[in-house]
Amino acid sequence: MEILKFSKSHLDFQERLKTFMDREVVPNIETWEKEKKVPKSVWKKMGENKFLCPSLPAEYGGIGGDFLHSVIVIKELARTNHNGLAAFIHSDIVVPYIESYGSVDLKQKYLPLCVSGDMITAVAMTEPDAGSDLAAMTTTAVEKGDHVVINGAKTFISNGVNCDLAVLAAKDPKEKNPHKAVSLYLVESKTPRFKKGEPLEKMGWKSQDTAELFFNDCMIPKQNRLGKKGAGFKMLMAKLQQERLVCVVSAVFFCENMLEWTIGYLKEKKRGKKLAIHSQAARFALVEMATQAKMARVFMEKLVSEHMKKKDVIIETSMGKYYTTDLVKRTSLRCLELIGDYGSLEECPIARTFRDTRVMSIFAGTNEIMKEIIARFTLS
Amino acid sequence: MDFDLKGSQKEIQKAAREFAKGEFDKDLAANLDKEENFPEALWKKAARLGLVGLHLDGAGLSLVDQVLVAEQFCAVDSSLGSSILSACRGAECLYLSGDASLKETFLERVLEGQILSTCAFAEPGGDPDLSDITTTAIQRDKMLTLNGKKEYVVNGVLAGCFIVLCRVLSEDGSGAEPCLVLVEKKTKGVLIKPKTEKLGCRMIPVADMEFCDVAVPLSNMVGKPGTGLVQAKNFLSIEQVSKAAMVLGMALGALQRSLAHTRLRKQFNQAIAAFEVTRHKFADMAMRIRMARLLTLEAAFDIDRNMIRGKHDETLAAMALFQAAKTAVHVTDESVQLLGGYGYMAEYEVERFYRDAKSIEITQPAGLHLKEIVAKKLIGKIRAA
Repeated sequence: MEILKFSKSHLDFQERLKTFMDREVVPNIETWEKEKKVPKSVWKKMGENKFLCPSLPAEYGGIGGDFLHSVIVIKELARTNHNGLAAFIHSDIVVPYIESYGSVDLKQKYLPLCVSGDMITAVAMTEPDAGSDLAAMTTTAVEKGDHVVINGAKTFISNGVNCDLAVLAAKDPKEKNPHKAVSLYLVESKTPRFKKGEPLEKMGWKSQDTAELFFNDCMIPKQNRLGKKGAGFKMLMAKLQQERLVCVVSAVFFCENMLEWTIGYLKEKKRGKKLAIHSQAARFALVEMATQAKMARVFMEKLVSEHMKKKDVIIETSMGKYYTTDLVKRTSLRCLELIGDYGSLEECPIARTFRDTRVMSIFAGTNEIMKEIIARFTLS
Repeated sequence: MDFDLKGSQKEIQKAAREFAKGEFDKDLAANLDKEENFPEALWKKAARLGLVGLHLDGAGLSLVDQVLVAEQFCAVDSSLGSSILSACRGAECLYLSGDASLKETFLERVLEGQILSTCAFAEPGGDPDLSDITTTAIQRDKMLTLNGKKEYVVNGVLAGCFIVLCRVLSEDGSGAEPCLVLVEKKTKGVLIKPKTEKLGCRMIPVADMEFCDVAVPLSNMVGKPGTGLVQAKNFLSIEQVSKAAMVLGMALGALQRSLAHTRLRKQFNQAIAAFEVTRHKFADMAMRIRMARLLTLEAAFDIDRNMIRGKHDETLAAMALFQAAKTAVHVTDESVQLLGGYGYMAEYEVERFYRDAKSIEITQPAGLHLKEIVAKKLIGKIRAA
């Protein structure tokens, strides 16, 4: 049933990454979850080993890979069962804005640092009063001579504390049409009057440094604008296909991992005279979940393959995002039911997966927004 | 047939609501959840006001009253409410079957908020119906010597007394009748191994236990020899209803929070609560809560009226917990979604309500076992053809 074909070099990349995760990531996760962030040094090591931005070409220090490398990174990160080291946000969601819309100068300046792990990136879109309704954003960018002055606040920003460079969406206060008012800018975190909040206390993604960002008369060079002035909305929409696809890929792998673990647990767990796995009800539940996960896997692989052919699959990706992030939640809830008492302890890995995956139907466009998009495209 | 609460019940409901609203503090709850600590001062205060184990006062049980308190407490705060309500866990066994001396020595102290109580029934790898208990108590003269292991004991390190399900044997090894025996924490040979870092209900500690030649006086036996399993099942029915009430409160509390949030927050120029799908989500949640609540009150009412005569219907309690827990997980989950990014943040509380409800749903007695209780009675024995 596999649609995606991984080459020898993909598989070598995966082997190297697996070893790296087992050595550099897995032993530290408990500490990172307590510290509410991962150290920058692990990002740097990821970069040194060419695991960041794998699809960037050699001129920027990349390995010139493709989206299958990204799929591998997402898969191996899912296997570690944590989300602090959210490399896919950097590699597959933020850096593509610079690659697609940055000037030659910006690309030459920043992309090598993104590949090497010297710069961690974040995308700053969401605001306290502009979540699903992005057009309601109030952060302003006023171009004055050679500079742009930014004012406003962003929230729920992944990699917020660690980021060295942010892709920021801000509005020209003079432009009344909200869809023509937004531009994207690159803002270095060392810019004066750019402040970061503390990592937010969340249900899950504990080791991820999600934070608020504040801009108070923050001045950046005008050259740091990505693409044309006022084209921000278009650029955001264009990049959302890949962002949502990343969610689909991740959700499917988390489903598979949870099932594998739960089946292993029930095979060992005695309940009275029989093993838990011998319960017919448990077996049917597992089979139902495995069926759903398999169908999701095939759909995900098809989406990845179409995406790699540069096809417009925004509707199907939205369907995938809604379905798989909902599925990963339902799978976690059901696995916990089958596991029982042990699932109520954090030492059970499914407890963390349950907490971590719950955000997936909220971020990158809530599932309600996904349904709105699908309805708009298919029912009008 | 009367669906209205009596005047005294309305007063209890009001007292519980006022206590919780006045005393439960949001920051305290967030901190205790984070640190996995029990709200000791609040528990003592609630006990002083008679709100701990108020169903164990007077003649017979008044579990309906307990349901009303649990709902109010857990709606105001899922974790503070459930931990205070669980403090007197198992005291029902003393109340229903303990002799005067056990009641005086232990039950009173539990109800006054001096010690926490609990039951220790389940054993590692055991059948959820408790039919294969292996913990033994060997009787010699006026003493019992306990040996065995128990798992997932609620209130773990905090409880001052444990009501242990075991088999009482005479010295020659004969007997093996299931009994309940009260064991004080301070007794030599009681080992408590806390299980820390819980997913939810983090203010309620849980532990595994081991009894190594634990000597207790024969007078610590709760009820007559051989009644252990019946008493244990009665307690579990009571606990199922208590837990159903707690998760119902959690559902109500989450509903109130998501309602407040979506009525205020505007996206696309209208309140989120004005969107049709949101409105119908609320309608659906309200319907589920109502159904689970009716079932829970019926199960409590049935226990109050019939348990003492052994005539209660144990399937009602199982149905109530199953449906209430499903409802609570659904409503708290929807509330997280309705609050969007804020729902995922600890500050907005619903994620904690969600973890708490989910924890109660998956810890015994739960899921498949509850369905078995219902199916067993409904289908009965099937005769071989």
